[in-house]
Amino acid sequence: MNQNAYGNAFMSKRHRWAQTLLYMKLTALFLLIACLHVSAETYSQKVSISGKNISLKQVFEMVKSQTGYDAIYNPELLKKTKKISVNIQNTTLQEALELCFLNQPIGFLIKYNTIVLTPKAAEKQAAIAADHATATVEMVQVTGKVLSEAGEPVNGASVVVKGTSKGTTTDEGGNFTIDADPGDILEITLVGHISQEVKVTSATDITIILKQSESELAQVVVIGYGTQKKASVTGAVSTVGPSDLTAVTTSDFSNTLTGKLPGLRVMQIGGEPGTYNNSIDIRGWGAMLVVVDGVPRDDFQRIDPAAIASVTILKDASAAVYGLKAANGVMLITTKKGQAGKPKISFNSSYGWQKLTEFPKPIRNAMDNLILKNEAALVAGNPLPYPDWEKYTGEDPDYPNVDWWGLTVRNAMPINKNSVTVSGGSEKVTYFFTVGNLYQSGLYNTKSMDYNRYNFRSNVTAKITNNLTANIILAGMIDEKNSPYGSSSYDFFKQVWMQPGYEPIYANNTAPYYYDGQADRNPLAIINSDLTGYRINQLKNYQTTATLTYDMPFVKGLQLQGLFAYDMNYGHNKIWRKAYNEYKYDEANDKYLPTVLTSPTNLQHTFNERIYTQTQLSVRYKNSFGAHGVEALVLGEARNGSGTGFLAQRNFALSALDQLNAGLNDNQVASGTDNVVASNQALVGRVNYDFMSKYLAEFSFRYDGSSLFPKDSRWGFFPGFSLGWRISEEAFLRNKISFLDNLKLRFSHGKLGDNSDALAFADLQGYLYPSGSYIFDGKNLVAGSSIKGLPNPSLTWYTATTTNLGVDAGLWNGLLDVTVELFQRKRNGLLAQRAIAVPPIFGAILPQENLNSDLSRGFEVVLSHTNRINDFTYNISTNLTYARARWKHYEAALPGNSYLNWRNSNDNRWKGIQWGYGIVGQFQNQRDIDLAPVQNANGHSELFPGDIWYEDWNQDGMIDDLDRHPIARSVEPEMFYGLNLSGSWKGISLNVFFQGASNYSMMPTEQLQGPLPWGRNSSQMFLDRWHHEDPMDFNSPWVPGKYPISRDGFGYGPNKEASTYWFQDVTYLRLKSVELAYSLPQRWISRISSQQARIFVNAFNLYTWKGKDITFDPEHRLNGDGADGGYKYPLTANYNIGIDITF
Amino acid sequence: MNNTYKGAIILLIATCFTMLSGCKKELDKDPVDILTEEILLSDPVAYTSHVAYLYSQLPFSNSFADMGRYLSYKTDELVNCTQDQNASLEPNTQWWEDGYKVIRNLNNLIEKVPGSSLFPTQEQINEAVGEIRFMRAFVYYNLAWRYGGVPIVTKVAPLPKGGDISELYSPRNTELEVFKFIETEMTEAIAMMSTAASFNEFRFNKWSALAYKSSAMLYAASIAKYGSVQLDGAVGIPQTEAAHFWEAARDAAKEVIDGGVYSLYNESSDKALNYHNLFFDKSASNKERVFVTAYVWPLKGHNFDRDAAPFNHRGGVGYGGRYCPTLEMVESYEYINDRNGALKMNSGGTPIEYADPADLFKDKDPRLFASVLFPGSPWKGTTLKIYARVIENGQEQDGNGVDGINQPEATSTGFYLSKWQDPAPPRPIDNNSSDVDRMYMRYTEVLLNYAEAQLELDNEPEARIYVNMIRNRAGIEELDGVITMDDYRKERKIELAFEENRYWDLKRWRTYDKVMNNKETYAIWPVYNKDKNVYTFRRQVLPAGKYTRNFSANLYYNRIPATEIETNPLIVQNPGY
Repeated sequence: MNQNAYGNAFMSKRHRWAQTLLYMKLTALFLLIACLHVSAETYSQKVSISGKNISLKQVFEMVKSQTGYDAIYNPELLKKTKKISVNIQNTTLQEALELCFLNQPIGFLIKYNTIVLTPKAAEKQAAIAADHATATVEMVQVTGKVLSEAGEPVNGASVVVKGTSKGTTTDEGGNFTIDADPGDILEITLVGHISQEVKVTSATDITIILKQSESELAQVVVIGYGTQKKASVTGAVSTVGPSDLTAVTTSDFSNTLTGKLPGLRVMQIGGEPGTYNNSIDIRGWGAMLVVVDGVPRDDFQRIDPAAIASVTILKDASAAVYGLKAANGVMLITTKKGQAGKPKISFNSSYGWQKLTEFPKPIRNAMDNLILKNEAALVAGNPLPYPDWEKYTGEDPDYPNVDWWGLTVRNAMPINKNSVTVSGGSEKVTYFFTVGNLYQSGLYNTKSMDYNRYNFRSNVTAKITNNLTANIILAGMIDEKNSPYGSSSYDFFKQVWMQPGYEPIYANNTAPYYYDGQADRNPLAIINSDLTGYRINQLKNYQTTATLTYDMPFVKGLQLQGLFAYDMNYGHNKIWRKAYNEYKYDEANDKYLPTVLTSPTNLQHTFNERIYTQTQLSVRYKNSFGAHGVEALVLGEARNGSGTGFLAQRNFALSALDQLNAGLNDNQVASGTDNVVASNQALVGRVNYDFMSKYLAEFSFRYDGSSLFPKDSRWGFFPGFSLGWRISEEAFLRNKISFLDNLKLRFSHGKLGDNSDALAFADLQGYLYPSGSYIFDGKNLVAGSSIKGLPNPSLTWYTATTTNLGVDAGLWNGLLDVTVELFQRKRNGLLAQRAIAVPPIFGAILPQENLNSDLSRGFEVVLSHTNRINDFTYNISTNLTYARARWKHYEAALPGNSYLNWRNSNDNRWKGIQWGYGIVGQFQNQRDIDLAPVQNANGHSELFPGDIWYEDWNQDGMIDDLDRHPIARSVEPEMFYGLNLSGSWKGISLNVFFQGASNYSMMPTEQLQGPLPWGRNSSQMFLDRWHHEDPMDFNSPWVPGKYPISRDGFGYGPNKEASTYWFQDVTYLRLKSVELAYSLPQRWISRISSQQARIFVNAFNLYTWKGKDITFDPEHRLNGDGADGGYKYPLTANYNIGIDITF
Repeated sequence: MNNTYKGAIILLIATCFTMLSGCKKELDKDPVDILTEEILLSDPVAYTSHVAYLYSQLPFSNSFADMGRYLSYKTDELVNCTQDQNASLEPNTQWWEDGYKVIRNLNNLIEKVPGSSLFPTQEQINEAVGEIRFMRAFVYYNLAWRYGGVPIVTKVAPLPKGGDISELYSPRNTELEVFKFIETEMTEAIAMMSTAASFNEFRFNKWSALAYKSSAMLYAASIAKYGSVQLDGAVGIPQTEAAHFWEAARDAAKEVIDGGVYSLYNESSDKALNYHNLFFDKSASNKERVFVTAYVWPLKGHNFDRDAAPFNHRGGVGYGGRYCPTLEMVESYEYINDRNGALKMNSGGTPIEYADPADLFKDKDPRLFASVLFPGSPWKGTTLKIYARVIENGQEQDGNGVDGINQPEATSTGFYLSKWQDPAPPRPIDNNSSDVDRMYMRYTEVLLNYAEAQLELDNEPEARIYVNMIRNRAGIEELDGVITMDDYRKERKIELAFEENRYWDLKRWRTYDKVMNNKETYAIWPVYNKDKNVYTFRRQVLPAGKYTRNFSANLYYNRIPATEIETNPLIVQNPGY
């Protein structure tokens, strides 16, 4: 807790409260004096003070017991005083104290039943001020000077009258002038410096020495179940505050964390509004645990950044207190609280546009496509299918030329974000409220996709009694996404990439008869929700957290805390599928021939509900005994989760009413979804010890039980410890090496547990119901029940043992801060089925067992440089994380021979190694083909110049499976890096952020690997192909290109083998965000009583540096991720303009 | 200070509340989706649900659900327009592991059902045990089809304590032992089943069990007669056993025939329509349905219409043209009065001009019209146009547009498959929009089995009666002379065309290599002369690279999966792998 300049380190809170009252009393006194025009009275009360070698402090205690008069003083002042021996009997207070202060370097004043200690020089001034108090009826104009420790004037320091909106900044000479009442407190702050508070006396000229802060060491960071001073942190913990989180305007909160926290790896997979599919992990370890305000909560990506106070990640044994699911690291999100003071109202609004980043596009005209088709026919030895290809210009309606991409995709999609925040409070109650809204539109030209989100959050803290504090946080996130029925991005891109430009939009060019062309559905029809139906996805997420904290009155530093959280999650999806027609035109009969699509009209509703409760009780103790600091925590925790839901679906005869009760009874479907129950309970303990803040030690444990595991194996014990040594505090370094401000060594080691992927009820033998189905009577489906497989009554946690070694160094007062971490995580008992190790004739489905193990190792480096040149303050910070994992043991049948072992075993192998062919290159001419080893089962009969020339890796004269060998590393990046540049000059600030990843590769699939899928359109890139000079003459000379010759149906199969031709190293550096902001001068905004007003422009995903062969956005994984296979919604670049204004 | 105590009390209450709720054994949950074995063996509904699951896991070929597993692709019957056909003729799916999973479940039931409280009477218990024992024999039959001799496992083995899996090692029984086991099990199971004339064609009953027994015995007999014994009997059956199995096949088929519960479907005088309806008629009057897997839209649908559709009749979801009968197959269909089915495309070296392309197929076996779509076929109210070339103003051009076979998803042979294709679908073609039942065993097959067994047992006159019964129902001339084995096999090929029988028949007759190897695959190329408005036809060989298929002798048995070989050292791999 910050110390008040006049505070006393040994005063209890109660005393401090009394002290505040005293200030108020003093102010009242001055007013009284002013009104009455009389001098302060002489105190005539009699006291007796006697004792040998007693301190002034003891004197004050005697005075207090006899007169009730309190003493108020700066302990620093008191330190300078000498002990005295006196014997004063029955003397007035004034006289007695004069005697006691006789040879002391300080003086005193008695005012309103209070003794105030003053420096000697100030004594007189204070007396004069009291005597001439008339002058203080009106405000004093205080002038002052702010100097650095070196005695140089400090420019740009902010001087504010505490608790008010009055403020100013120092000029180039370090001078300031401000109006204030005597008794007011001036707050002087400057980035990178320790804030100071100075009380306004009548003195009108103040000199303040502003010390540079010990970098961030004094900062308090959130750790598991508590907070800690950064200087005392011994684990691998990284944190960011709100100032780092605002520079990006997107819907997904995790985008604002990209590259900001060393070790946190955020990759944007796509930019679809309301989808939140970023890939996020810590050190490449898989899905982490996310804890929001002390409670595990998954859905953090929807949080409004305006409500975030800090985000911390725990990357090592420091996460062990979270036991369950902490094996992959923990992210702690703390939301904002109110501060005592006048209400502060902030309004933030931004408006922007999204544009697609680099994304493969289809050929956008008819002729280029027809050239490829004709070439493909020549290659296959067929006559030209389109000898009249040159006529497809669109001028003649019989020869259409349609740019389907341009027709369906928008150039700029608006995004808009607003939030209002109110905070403030009194000594007893503080509050923070925020309400926000985000609107984001999707890429369809028909505007049929958009997303709307509302966030609200309130955080109220009330001091019920002196010792008892209550805090209640209520938060809600409500959103709705609208999209057309038939076009998940998968559907849409698949169709729009395939739709040839030589097909018309409408049959006979007559709207609204959508032409039934080669693509499965007309791309323009499927994004028309009025015609084809829609999808609405709604989510309502309410979170409640109530905390009671009780400071035990009798034991100093002992605190009791109870927390209860209740989270409700409601999902509702409505899918309205409308039957519609696409048409062909029958010219002879002048008829439009319909093809009925997506029939019958159908409505599906899915509702589901999830409820989570969390109860926590904790006892905390914190105290110090001389040089020994001790902190302890014991905490019990219980968590319950349950979910239920249902689905209902009906077909419709009529598609005018999109309501379930308008549907048909026939073939209606109702079923349950998401029925789950799970609980866990835990006991957590932690002890911290430090000696002289120099030697630090922490031990923690968690005893965790999960309902997912069988009774006898459900409890796990997860201990961890860490040690720290602040070498810079040692006498042999301190002040010896002047530029070394901080040097700390940290080490941690701990065991954590995980139950993700564990199937519940492993100990139960039984039958899963429903599972599969069969029809016994020709009419009705009978739900089946399948045998569950063998039980495993001892299924238990798999464990992760993490070890972390870290060094923090601070040099030259912030000119260079360095953190280096080395880490490893070894996991044992990973869940797998032994299936492949027992003979299949055994016939049983084997249970999950704790079988596999893996090891991940890596390092992190963070460098930061903060400096100030005159008015220009800037910071450069960069971080890099590298991690790579390998299997230690991977359960498999014993390989039959050493080749199979080399080929198939995963034991002690790096994860993610890609196998395939090496290539010599592309055949340049027929001679190359003739001389090359046998390339495939068809010999060389189908090869042409431009085809891929595979390397005969084992040199046996033919290319076959035996030539496959490791050709690429993981498809997941091993290295992530970020570079942040920020600077400010007078009200202008600029923040530029770069981010990137390296050491991974990608291989495109489907339409990105070959032209003319099903003989339709192609991606544009395949125009850069091997072809003949005269594309219609197979005997004209070859013109080389990047891709092989055009062939029908995704190109030529053998060209598409996994090989170094397709696997590309994807190293990229991206200008992730840029923000330029201007804070309006005080003199302008004070007219509208605003404290602060800031306008900004920012941009997101602005530019990317990458290999020239990467034709797509490197973050957007086009290498086939499950069924999406490259058809994922593209990333967007966002450009925003906005304003922040605070009243 | 009072307030302080208040705080303490509030917190104390909160603590107690939490402790109390914590005491409620929160970590012991009841499962939401698991039935215990107790319930399964006492509640007939739960028992039936497990049996339903096991039926859904039985190793039927499954052409409707999964094109990739359609066995007709592996024969000379048809090709896929979009794929290279020159892939190995090894089936895409293995049945070893799934088969033994089903066997373990069945062993468990066979052990426990007799002592359970599921059914009140012994008859009902017998009926149930008969059904599950037959299911097990059926799975072994399917394993023997593919692998020859396999280990016979009849007990539920526990997982060895201490993880010594050598207790689980088991060698292969000989193929003879396996077929003997199948014979005994089927016989005993059939004896337990009720003889009631009413039956359920969707699960095994006395009659469908007998029908399948005749097929299994026929298979064993063929292996004995045409195959050779290798690997000490692990594959192959001694020739001396052939007669026994022929007789067993004959007797089982005869029992079905004598049972009188089935008859050949003959509801329409239009022979083509009659044969077509045979596969669509779900009513009780269809007495040909011996064993059927039912489909009911939208609960359970399949994609046959989607995948088979002619290019310009495709549904909105695309696909189509995936099943293209070969010209060789079409020419195997005889003319009503002419046993030489070759199409009359040329006369004296010059192409015959047809004003109506359908005339090329005039007087063919009516079963062709119910199984194959060709240029000029009436289809869904239109006449199907298919052409490979167009002659306009004397110039020959490539056949473009929706009727041209140049479309990558149009037929590559000039034909489409229509056997189960719905000419008037009740709903637009979409994913899983079709619900024509899949008849896995029909009465005709029983008759053919009977005829084949009689023919092999040198009782040709008896065989001829049944072959002619089928030809008569089909609407083509009966055979009056002595019928040969080739006559019989051709009849079986045509009657059961595209029903996935041919794959197994070619295997058991050991004629696969002769039929498939060194053969070119032919398409018909309709050439439309716009100037004269006539069609001519060309016999067009399909590109060798894409359409050549070779059957190597080792494929008569499938490869035993590597997982078994690697984990069970007593297992010997089949020859040639």
